[in-house]
Amino acid sequence: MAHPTEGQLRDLGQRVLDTLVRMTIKQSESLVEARKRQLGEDYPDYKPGQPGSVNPPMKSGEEMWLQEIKPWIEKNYAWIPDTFAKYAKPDEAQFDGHIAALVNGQTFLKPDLKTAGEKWTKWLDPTVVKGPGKTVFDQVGIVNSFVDDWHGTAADSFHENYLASFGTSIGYQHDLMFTLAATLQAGQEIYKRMGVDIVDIGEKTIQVLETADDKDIKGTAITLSVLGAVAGIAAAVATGGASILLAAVAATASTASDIVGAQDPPPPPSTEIKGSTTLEIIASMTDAISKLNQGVYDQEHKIARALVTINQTVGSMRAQIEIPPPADFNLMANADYTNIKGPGGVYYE
Amino acid sequence: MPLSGPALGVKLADLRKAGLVYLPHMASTYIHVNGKLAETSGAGDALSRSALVGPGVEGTGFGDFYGPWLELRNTVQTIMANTANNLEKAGSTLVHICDVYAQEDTAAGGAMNTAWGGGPLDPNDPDGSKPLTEPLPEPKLP
Repeated sequence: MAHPTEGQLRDLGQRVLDTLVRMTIKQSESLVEARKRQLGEDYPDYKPGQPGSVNPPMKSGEEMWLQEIKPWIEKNYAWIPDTFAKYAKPDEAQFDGHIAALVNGQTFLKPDLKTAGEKWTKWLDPTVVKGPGKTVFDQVGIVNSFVDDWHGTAADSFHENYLASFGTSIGYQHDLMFTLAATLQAGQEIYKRMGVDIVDIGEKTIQVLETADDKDIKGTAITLSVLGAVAGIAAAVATGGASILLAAVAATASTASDIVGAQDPPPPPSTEIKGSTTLEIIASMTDAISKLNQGVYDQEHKIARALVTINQTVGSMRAQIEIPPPADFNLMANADYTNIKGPGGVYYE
Repeated sequence: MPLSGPALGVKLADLRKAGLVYLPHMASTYIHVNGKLAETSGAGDALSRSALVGPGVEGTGFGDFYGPWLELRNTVQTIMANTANNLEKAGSTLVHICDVYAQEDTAAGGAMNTAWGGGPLDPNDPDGSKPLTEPLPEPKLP
């Protein structure tokens, strides 16, 4: 299901508001509660039974509803459509291009050796993405085959201190590309579920409000799907970004589960849309939206925590991840960049 | 036993090939990967959301993970760029080393020039001395 648009969400919020207005008059308890609150705000000097009370003008029930209570509800709950509309972003579809770019880059680094059981992310399926041409990992083998017969001090340094480390570096680079894509996809999953949940909250609020002409209003439970959004990130980063995760585990003396938040307490129980009046039903809807907000925030924080640890690890391992300039064998070959011409005959710095 | 003369020249041709063709090919692949990372520079637009989600502040903002994600992305992009640059330097250094060898050993230089007379050698030639009749394959980048 595509992410709901701002217009669709605003319409949903408007339907909630319209249903609230329509059903408040249908149940006497709801009408009484709305009138009480409206009187308290519109006639602050009206204190029934107390000296100095300024009584509101006498009106028929219908006049009172049309001229005072209904406008008060519409004004005080005008925030509902705006609130729903705010969940139109982020739209998970906007993530696809960025994830695809990262996956494309990753496939140029190293052949993917993942097994069928590790397909948390869609690109691990070899039928979906295949890297065109040879990866840089394959190209190291080609370079090796052409310098194999080169011997001497500079050659040994090139082989042992330079070329031999390429495989490890490329492995880290590959896993970092995967980690970027996997965490972005975990974020995508959060916002996808956020869209599902806000629609669920709106529709169920309307459903419960529609029962408000009964004496016994029927509440409805809501399970917020966002609470389990990044449960798979541990598996994803562990399988696709293994070397980086293991390095982070070693660097921080923690476990992979700690780093990706898999040990966090279980999410809070599902919430419920309920109440004995229409205004109470709206209050329970507000509570459900707050829980949704908190759930989104908590899930985002899990990804953030994993990324902070990985950033620290990358900072400390930078020399092993980046393929360096050929300083050692360069020196032994009695050469330096100032007298070596690069492509196009231009000297290096 | 160290090679010299024409035998060294043929091996120098291989070394030159690694420096002039294959290491730059690797570098160009890294440039492609770097370009793919650059394509994600607009991820902030995708990730911006109502600040209502979370601390309950009005306006728009980013999820908690955008900052560290962006930091990692920028770091990885720098790593890819530096790696490409360094591989290019490594290739140029190999070519330089070949030239120094060739100058020191005239026979080897002659053999290498002969080997390169028709351009790069055919990697599929068992003797390693036959020039390519067709251009070397370009890096298969989209």
